[in-house]
Amino acid sequence: MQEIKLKGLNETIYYDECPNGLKVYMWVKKDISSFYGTLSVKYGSLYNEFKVGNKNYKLPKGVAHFLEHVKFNEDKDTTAHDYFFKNGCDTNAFTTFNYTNYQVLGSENPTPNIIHLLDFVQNDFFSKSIVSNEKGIIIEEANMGIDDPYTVMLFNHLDNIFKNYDYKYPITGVSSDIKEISLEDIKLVFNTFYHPSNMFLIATGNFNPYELMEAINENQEKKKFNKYLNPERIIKKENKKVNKEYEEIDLNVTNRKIKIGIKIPKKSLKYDDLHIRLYTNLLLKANFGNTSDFKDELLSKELISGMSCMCDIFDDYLIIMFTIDSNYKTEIIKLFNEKLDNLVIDEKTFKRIKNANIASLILDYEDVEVVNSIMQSEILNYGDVIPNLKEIYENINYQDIVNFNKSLNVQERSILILNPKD
Amino acid sequence: MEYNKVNCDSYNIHTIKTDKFKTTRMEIIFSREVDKDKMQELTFLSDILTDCSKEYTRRKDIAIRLEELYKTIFYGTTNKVGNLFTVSFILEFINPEYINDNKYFKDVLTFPFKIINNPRVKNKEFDIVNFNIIKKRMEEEIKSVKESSEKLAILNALSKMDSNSPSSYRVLGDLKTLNKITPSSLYETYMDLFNHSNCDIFLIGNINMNEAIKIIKDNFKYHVIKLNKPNLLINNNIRKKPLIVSENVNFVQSTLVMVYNIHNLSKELKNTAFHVFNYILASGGILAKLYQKLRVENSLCYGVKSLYLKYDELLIIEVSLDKNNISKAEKLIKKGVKEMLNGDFSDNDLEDAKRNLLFSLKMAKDNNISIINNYLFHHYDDLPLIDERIKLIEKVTKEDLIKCAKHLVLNTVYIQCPDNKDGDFDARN
Repeated sequence: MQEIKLKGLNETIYYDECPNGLKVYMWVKKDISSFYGTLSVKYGSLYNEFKVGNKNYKLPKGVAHFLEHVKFNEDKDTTAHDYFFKNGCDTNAFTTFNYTNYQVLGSENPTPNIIHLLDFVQNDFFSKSIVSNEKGIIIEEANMGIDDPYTVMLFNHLDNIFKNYDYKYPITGVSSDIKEISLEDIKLVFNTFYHPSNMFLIATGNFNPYELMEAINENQEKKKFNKYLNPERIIKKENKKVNKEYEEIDLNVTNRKIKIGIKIPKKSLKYDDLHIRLYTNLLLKANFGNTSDFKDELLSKELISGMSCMCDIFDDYLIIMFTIDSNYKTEIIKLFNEKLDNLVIDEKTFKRIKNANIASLILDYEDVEVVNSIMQSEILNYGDVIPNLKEIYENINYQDIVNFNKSLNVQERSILILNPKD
Repeated sequence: MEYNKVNCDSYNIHTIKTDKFKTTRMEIIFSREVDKDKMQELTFLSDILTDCSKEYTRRKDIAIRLEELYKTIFYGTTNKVGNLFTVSFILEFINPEYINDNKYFKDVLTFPFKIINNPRVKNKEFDIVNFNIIKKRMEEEIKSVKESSEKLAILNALSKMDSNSPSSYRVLGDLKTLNKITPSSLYETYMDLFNHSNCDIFLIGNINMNEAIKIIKDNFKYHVIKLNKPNLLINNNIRKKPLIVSENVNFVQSTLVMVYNIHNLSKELKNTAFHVFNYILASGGILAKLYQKLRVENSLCYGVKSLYLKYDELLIIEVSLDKNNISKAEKLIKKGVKEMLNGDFSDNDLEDAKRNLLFSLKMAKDNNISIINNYLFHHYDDLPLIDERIKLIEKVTKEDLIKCAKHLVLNTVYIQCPDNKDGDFDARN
């Protein structure tokens, strides 16, 4: 077992890999009562088109989320909930664009419960009647999304930003997709992607890492898996231009919202993904965050009542998104365009934000769920946990951010106005 | 974990010393009984008091100072639990052991008092610029309730149940009353808060508590005659026959809300057995009775929500579903409640539910907010502390749960349906 020391944070991650390829990460906190185990499968909603060798497959949208639902059935009469309920544990799961995550949260007997997490996710039981019964439930879940204006708003905006990428489609699929999903689709996905070498397990909380790892190895040795065929997601080529520059829609919102999206080809930035995210966050906080003059002025002039921004990498593109609550669309678009053309950061602000972010890193390693989630993001985004993140932050200097700002082209913009229906 | 209470005449300081967390949390809690006419203005006040002060005139200035204090969090919030209304100012900061700065501890701990003791007021009026920012924000928050079908349905169900009951009062109020608030009336409310409230300060973390108490005493001059402890319970009326209301709204899904009174149940059973009862009936996730009946056996919905409002003596069941399934869902919920009354659940169900609740209680010991909350209600209502509650939950019997079911009386069935363009749909047929 390897001990990964997180430099400057006084934390250790225990890491090991099973012979079948399952990677295991463990973070131990002895003075608490709980443990949290998550098993992530690198298969999400974007993977409905994939290829294995020369053979291409196209499945209905929403199949990843559908599989997540039915996966809890261990045989025709038993679900994973039955086991965990008896053990005083809570279990759940979620599906994202890129992966599916199964969880168990408890306070007693971490080893058998985490082993059962592996058992139910790796179990290949599915049946026609279970698939058929689940459809009504998932359609109702998808309809809840249609009633949530913030979900509708996000996917509309992604639709306007991306011409070809599948990020524009709801993770659940819509009613017609869900009705189309068959038992065969589910089995195909399970057999192709639910392989230990396409999964990673993270355990956080109060447990003995050596005991847990030994049990995991024993458990995995007993199971047989076919050879992993390295399926590949088919990624469509995306256009540099946004799909729609401007759109207004009526939605079930009570106050007008303005969304501004910026599409930046990653290759136009000469940085790795980690630095793109760190630099963009610093720059956005300085220009649009709670401490910025720009936001302060918009609030003082009562042009907005609130605004938020986020950035993330979507395959080959860095996307920055603003959500603004305002009734003054013309003025806001004008002011944002001006501001985006003149992004700035002074050295004092840079240092303050950087120090605050470093303080956050220390605080992050406290809660079993937060730590687990941070590790998931790092593994998915960068392939592994980052042992020297604090050091990376500390090494960022003012000139780095100035140079990054110069290389950032924020001209490709998509604006979505959401008007209240009534 | 070491708990101490210090009586400072007009307020109490409760300290909980523990090295479990990397942060320290302080909650300055002003409390009083619910007053419909004052809740909205107190909510406005909690917001404006943490948005600016004499020294920090804009939110931006406060945000900068908080970043300088190593990303300290500071905000104001209000809450209504039964008949208790609280205005809280919350500070969460990184423990001094991680910060190489001698002044940090005093700076961070005095920060909230500097803000709330020195509001941005001139001639007994709050500054108009800050006032308008908060007013706009509240206006939008009030309107946004209509964006969530579930939230809207629950609030409407409580209003229909009894619009004069404090259970139905909305902390945010409405637009009509918001427009009556002025910078000067807000100042009067500020004076009222500081003159007519109970005040308790909770501190949890790994800090020198004696030093912290001294800093608080030196910086918080709060002189009021202590009020009596508020009565937390709301006596909601019972109906001989349930009220059934159906309304149309602009959503795709329908929402069914069923409100039950918990009539005359003993305090002991409300503190322990009713949680177990609710777990088996509805709140225990996919294996709960109502989940099984509605979701697993009939594919009617994604989930069933259940809210146990102990001090309102209400149980609320809420489900979002297709309009054609409302009648079936209502019957299944009633059937589930009846089965609880008949003791139609196994000893295993009971033991499993208890085990899961014990797990939640143990988890609560890992959370600084839950720990403070427990001490707050222990202080106000003698709610047993977590370790004691664990012992009490273990003793709950099947008979206790049947008693809980006997005390349930259906009050209101509220149905929220999509706008009926065809004009011929009756949700209950």
